[in-house]
Amino acid sequence: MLLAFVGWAFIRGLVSPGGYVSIDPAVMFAVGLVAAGILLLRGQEPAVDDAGRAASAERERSPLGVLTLSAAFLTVGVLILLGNLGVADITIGQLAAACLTVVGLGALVGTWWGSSRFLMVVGVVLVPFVIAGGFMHFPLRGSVGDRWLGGRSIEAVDGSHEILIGAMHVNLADMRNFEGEREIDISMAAGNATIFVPERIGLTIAGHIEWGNANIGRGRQTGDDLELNETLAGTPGAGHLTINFTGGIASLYVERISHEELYGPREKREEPERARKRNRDQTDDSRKARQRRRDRAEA
Amino acid sequence: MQRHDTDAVSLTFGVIFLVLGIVFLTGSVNPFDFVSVWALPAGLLATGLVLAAAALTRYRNHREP
Repeated sequence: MLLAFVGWAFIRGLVSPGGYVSIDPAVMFAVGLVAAGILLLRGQEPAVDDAGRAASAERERSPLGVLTLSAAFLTVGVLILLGNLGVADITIGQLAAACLTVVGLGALVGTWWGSSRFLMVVGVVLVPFVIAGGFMHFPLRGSVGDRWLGGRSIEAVDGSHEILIGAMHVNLADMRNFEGEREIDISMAAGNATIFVPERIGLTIAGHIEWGNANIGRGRQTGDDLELNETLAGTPGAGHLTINFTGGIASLYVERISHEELYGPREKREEPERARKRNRDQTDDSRKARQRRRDRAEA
Repeated sequence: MQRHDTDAVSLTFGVIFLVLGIVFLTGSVNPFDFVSVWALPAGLLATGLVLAAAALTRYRNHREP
């Protein structure tokens, strides 16, 4: 039944509602966890005969630790699947806490049956993740690693971004012809975001960071439960950009900056172009000289 | 798995892990508040109780050969 459920959930995860086929890393992770749990359970089947078992009875190891780990894998895997299927809202912190709860139950069983010393190590390793997960009220969804955004048109920038773990670099300093209002939603479970916007446009940063820091213009906030609500006026007639930022353990840096400040003075940037032109001219001259020599030789 | 005498270490860690897991599973706790207000005193209390229980058990076993 479990395998049938996993298969059905996997297919649901593969085929998106839009009709095109995609593979969700979280679904793959969930299926992997469930498979690991099943494999660990299968490993508990007796593999030796009675005589062999009697001989090794003295050093027989308790299966409690492996059984508990398999239960933890199954629990977390099923929770991820339920979250991905939209049955329940499961956050990263709840996944870690569910895992620790199962390990705790295993340790309690080990108080009277079997040996569970191995589970102590697993539990102690899990505790920091559970506490860190307490800051992350986000589903196990989004990109992992660096993400770069930029462009000369605001239309080229997506309105919604989800980052699980990683960095986000938004460079809108080159943006031109931006009028009206535009919103960008950024959700970041853990990581840092750097945002550059042109000086002339108005900017509103709204949102919340569970734990971390925020540098917006000249303002700086550090600590937990940071409320973001900053508005910087732009030049008359320019557009207004609103960034809704929700972060778990996150660092946010926002600066309004001119093109020159970000890339340096325009003269310096034109130097390579002048050098290319000079090289092109020299190449043309040498080509003409070669052609003249060839013509002279033929004559 | 055969039944054995009560293992105090497993019991202590089991209770700690279980309580921690359930508290964070509800998702309504600030980790800073939890650690400073509850976890630190609870951890110290649990350590004291386990040490006392271990000392008393050793003393009782020593007196009853």
